[in-house]
Amino acid sequence: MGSFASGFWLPRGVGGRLRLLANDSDILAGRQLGILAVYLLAHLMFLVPGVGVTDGQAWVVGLAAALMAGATATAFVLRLPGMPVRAVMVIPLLDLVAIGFLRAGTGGAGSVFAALLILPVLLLGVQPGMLPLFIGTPLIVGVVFLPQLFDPTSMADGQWIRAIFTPLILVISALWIHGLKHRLNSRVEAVQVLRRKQEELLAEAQDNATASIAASNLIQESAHQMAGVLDAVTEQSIIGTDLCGRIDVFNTGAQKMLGVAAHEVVGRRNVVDFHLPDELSRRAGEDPGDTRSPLTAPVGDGDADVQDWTYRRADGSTLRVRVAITARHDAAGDVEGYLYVATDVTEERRQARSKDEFVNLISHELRTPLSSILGYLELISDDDEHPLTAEQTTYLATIERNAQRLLRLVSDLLFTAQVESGRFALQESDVDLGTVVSASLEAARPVATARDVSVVLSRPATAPHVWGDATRLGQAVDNLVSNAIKFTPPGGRVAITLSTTAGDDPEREMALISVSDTGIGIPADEIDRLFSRFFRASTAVQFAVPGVGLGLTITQAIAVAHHGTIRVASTVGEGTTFALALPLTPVDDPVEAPPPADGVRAGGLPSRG
Amino acid sequence: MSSGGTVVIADDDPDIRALIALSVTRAGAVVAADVSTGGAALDAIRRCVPDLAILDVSMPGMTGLQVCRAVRADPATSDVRVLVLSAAVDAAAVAEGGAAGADAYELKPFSPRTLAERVRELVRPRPPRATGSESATRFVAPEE
Repeated sequence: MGSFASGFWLPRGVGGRLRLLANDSDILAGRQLGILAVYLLAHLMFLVPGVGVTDGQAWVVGLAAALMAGATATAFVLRLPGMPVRAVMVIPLLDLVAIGFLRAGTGGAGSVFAALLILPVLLLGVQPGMLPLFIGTPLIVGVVFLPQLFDPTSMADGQWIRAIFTPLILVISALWIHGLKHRLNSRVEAVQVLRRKQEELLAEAQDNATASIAASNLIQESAHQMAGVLDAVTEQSIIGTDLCGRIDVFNTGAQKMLGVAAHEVVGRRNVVDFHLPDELSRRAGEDPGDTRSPLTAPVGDGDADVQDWTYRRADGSTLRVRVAITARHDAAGDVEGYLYVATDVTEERRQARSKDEFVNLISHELRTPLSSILGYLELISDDDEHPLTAEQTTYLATIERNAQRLLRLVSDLLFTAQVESGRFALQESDVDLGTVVSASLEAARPVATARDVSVVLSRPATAPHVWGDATRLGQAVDNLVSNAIKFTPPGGRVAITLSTTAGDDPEREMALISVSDTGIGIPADEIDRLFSRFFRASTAVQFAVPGVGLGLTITQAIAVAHHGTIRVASTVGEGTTFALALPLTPVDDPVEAPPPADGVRAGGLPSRG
Repeated sequence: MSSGGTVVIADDDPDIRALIALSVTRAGAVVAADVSTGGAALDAIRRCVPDLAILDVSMPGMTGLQVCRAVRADPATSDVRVLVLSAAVDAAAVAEGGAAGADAYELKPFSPRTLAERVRELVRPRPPRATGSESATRFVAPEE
């Protein structure tokens, strides 16, 4: 039993065999050897005077010895591989019979060796299952009554009582041992289950540890990579901050642009330290109701806010930059800070300025000779003293028409350049769109008549009014109407419709000017490029419609400057409809520059800031 | 149809200058001086104190607008009417002319006929200045 109990404390691996211990042939053989040793000791006791074999019953003791030898041999045979496990219960049964015979041959009920019976009974008790006990119980009774076969008087003098109690005690002992062993087995199993769980948990913990080390390595690696990428950006300043503006990222570009080392800034400075306080307070003042920083207030959830700002370098000098500010999100998706990516726009502005100057110069230089040409043409035409021949009048009309065309081109180029540079001036007032469309219609009528294109106007009795630049709006409508006429074959029809409609914002009604023609149309894949500078639809080229591709660019710029939109729908061969929508009420002006003079404000495409 | 007014013309382009002079003559006014720079224009205006000065914006030296401001600033010439003539087309430039104190603004290219009419209006015997709105394109005098 000692080895059995010590099984609990066996090292891992050996413990795995614990459950099978009671059936284990090796251990059984060991126990059998123990019983054999005691049995041999009993035989040695025959040397003690007074202890001996009952007369005439030496064969019984011999039989006992043979049975013991048989049991021992069986124990060793059952160790061999492939032997049935249940067969081991034969060994205690053989032992029982052997010791029964020894008892019978050495004095029967009064044998000094009767106590030996307890050993096979215990061995029987540890056998798995109840079968050994079922077989063992009658055998124990039989063994106890065995001396009666050889000596019928052995039950005399109340010795039969012994024959009742001895088997009873032995069977109960076997049952108790069996119960103990059963409980022990259950506990061993429970321990096994726990141990397996422990092993699983340990393995899981090890896996987790491995995974966490790998993740940590990955994070370190990607942080390293990110730092490398940020520092490779040397011409743009990248500054990362928390929600309060404290700087935690300051790349090489920022160090170069702002003239301060990262270690002097990270964790020590706030992003506003690099901004002009005046500029910040001025922008904050634009919306007094908003208490957030003017830097981050306009930042959308996924969109960058791109604006021009002035950075203040460490040496106090300033730098004009375009800053894209985006929100940084934590793992849960909440905003945890901001990224400021700034580009120096000094050179860009210088180039834009020189381009503007160049365009203005060229425009001036082209308009001056055109002024002379047109002015003197008028003088010749008006000279009543020297009337022209019909032929000369025709020639002069051709010269004038072409000079006017050249003049329009110059004006369009100049205007496009102004749009490109982000601002052009609007002289705003209340504009009656009825007057605007009627004027455009009248201006286009001669050309339409010459081309045999009918032009019709449909307008409400009370025309919508908008707040805007009458000249520019007239130019936009002129462009749409003259385009429609140009692209419509003789016999076609151009319809100008003035109406009001609900805009994208249901609360804001829009004035709508739509110009439809029955012209050659625009292929669907070219619609997107239609408003690009110098773009000409393939149909325009194919039908040799004159133009340079600036009209729609200008028209769109005018629409956008008036907070309006322009949309187009077209089918090749059927016609095109342009719809210019303009807000009916004045809207807040997002352009930051103050109006240069009374009634005039800077206009421009909002996307260009 | 002579209104007998005097006009100083300043433009760096001689052909345009000649065209303006023709318009002025047709309006019945007299060309008092015909110069090609801003500085010369200011000198001529101070010397002649004409009824009207027709000034091109882009000229070597002083621009027409600078001359206009100088004319307005000088009490001796502040009553001289000024017509600014410019190749600039945008509203900002027009507004700038108004801010400089010009009485009228004409865009290049201009019609000699229209210019002559404008000259006629501007050299007419002056009504009290405050009425101000003789034509749609006249500026309201800046508040001083």
